[in-house]
Amino acid sequence: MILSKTDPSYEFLPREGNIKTENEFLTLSFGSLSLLWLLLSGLFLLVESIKLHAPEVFNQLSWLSYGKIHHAAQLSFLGALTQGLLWMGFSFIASAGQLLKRSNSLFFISLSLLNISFIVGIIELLSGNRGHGTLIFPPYSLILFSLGFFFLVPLLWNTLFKIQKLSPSLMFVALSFWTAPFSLATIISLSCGGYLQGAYGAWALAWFSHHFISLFLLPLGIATVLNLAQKYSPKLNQNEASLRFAFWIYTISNLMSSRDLIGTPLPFIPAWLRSIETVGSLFLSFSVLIILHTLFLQLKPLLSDLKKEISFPFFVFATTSLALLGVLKSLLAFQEVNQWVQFSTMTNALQTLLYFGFLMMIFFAWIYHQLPYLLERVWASSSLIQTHFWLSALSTGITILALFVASGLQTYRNATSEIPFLSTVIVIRPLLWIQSLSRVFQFSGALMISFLFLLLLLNWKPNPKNSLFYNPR
Amino acid sequence: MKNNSIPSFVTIIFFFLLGWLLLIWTPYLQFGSQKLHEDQESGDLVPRPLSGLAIRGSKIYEENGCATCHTQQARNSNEDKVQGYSKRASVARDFFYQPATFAGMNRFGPDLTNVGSRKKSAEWHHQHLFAPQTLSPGSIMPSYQFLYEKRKIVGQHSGEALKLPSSVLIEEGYEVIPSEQAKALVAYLLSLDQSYSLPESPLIEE
Ligand code: HEC
Repeated sequence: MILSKTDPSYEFLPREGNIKTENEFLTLSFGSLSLLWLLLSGLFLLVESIKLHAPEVFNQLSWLSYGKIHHAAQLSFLGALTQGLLWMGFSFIASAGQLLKRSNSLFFISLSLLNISFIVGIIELLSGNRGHGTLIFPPYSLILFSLGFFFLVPLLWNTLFKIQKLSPSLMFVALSFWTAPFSLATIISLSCGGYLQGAYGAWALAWFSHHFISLFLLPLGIATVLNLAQKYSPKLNQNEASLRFAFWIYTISNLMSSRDLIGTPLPFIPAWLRSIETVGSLFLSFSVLIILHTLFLQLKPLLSDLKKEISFPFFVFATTSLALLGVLKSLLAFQEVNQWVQFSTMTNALQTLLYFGFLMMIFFAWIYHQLPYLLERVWASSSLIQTHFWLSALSTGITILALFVASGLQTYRNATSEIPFLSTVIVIRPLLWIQSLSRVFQFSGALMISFLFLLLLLNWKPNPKNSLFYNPR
Repeated sequence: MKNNSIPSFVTIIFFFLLGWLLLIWTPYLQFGSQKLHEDQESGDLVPRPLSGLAIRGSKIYEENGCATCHTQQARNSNEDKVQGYSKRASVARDFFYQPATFAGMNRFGPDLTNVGSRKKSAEWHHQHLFAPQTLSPGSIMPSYQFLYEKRKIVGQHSGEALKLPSSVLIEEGYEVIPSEQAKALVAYLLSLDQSYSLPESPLIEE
């Protein structure tokens, strides 16, 4: 199985120079903006925590109410995440030797629209133009975001069609870029047509949020995992057959179901649809586990070398989170289990696992591993990177643990008739404190990576002794 | 070498369409064909339509993200029975008149599907929104003082003024009056009532 060269069909590098300028362009635009949004969302999350622990603070200011700040934090976090993940997706396409940059102006328009959409969205949220009940994007923001994305569609599709053979990693990127325009178009037309009302509104929004997370964000994250694994072991070929198999299971089960619907208490939905959801969810988790198992086998012989790689701990944390997510989600695919923990802080725990445990961590791993190669510069300090890892890992781990415990307490106590609801609220407060403390750590971590990124862009030359990085190539 | 991108694209779009028909189109037809139900006892059509004020109130509910901490979907679960959220599970038809459905994902606070039949006093809601901790000590529910106006008392007390306990410090000679927004929000909360029976989800009597 061990071949001396990577498959030339998708790793061919026709014009090194172009790839470099493209990646510089992408780093400067999508990269820096995603980190800026990360910092902003960190600030919002801190304010949200203050509001939770001291409900009286700022209670005269309508735009600072808890619900508004909470959504503003989520939207700005999405600003970081979408741009970060798009950055990675574009970079994979660029490195496959396809020229994205031919259409500089398209990228520029798209980038501007995406960022305007997040700014407008935050203004809308804080000023009360919430719209659509529970959708994360307020109305105008959704339209601007979609426009920003649509501008890139011809270019992205065209580029993907030109690639002779899509690697498993590029398949996941393609899945994102091919389906997102359709789900965005669906939700915009439902919203503009006034269909998002009553129970159907809740139903359609759950479908959209499933598409946004499991068919747009998550595939880009998985693509990054595959890509990084290949970068860590360039001399080994990936077990493509099993990865492609997993890809198709993932894709079909996701497209045919919407696991957010499993818990909906609307018996109006025919029972057979419910069963499809459960089966779909099981398949989905199964495919994630196949992917991780394949990669584990691939990287196993290199583990001792990889210990020297600065980004590897991030990679391990991210993939472990993904595996855990897969296992938990497959448990929750059963209606009975789902109903048990449905509205508890388990929801928040799973969200933290997905956003901070997996997507953000794999994003960091990619930045730390890949930027030095792409830009031919070195990180200023490896100890700062290690500190960043421990801050993120500990804060994420502790938050998830605290939320699990809180969920258990809520589930047990709220189903026991002698225990009043309010006393449970009071009991879990300290656990929410832990979450808030973690946000301080997360924010410091975000400051660190932004600082390192800035130094890298400014081309600050470090002491060469400091930059001992494992270099597989 | 075989190009695999176009066949992949076609396959993905095929399954997207299939899923779309199954999960967006079919439910649209199903939900769209719902009708009101005639209540056996009162002869009323249920669910009952919301008043204009309550519809405006639902906007305030939406804006302030109350759905972050409150769900509006009762289930046939042990928890829902113990907490007395509802005598039956919510079904799609219950949301017939709701301009948006705040199903929610989190119960930091109690489920509000039926709060209108549980807490019937507007006064209670106003005091709770203004200063939740006076009614529920230790609550993490934020106070929504910006929905209220502090006004100098001229002549007699206004009939609308909140009767607050002395633990809430209000300057001497001032009173707290609910704004239009607060009144609309409370009208909305009072309208949340699923204590009628539906054939697909009859009331469970103890
Ligand atoms: C940070 C979470 C949070 C937010 C946001 C929140 N609440 Fe609450 N709410 C609670 C908690 C906790 C309780 C239970 C303790 C209490 O009565 O205060 C509660 C209780 C209630 C109750 C009483 C329910 C009952 O059965 O006793 C009502 C009504 C209510 N909230 C309405 C609202 C409205 C309206 C909003 C938005 C303007 C809102 N809440 C926003 C947490 C929240």
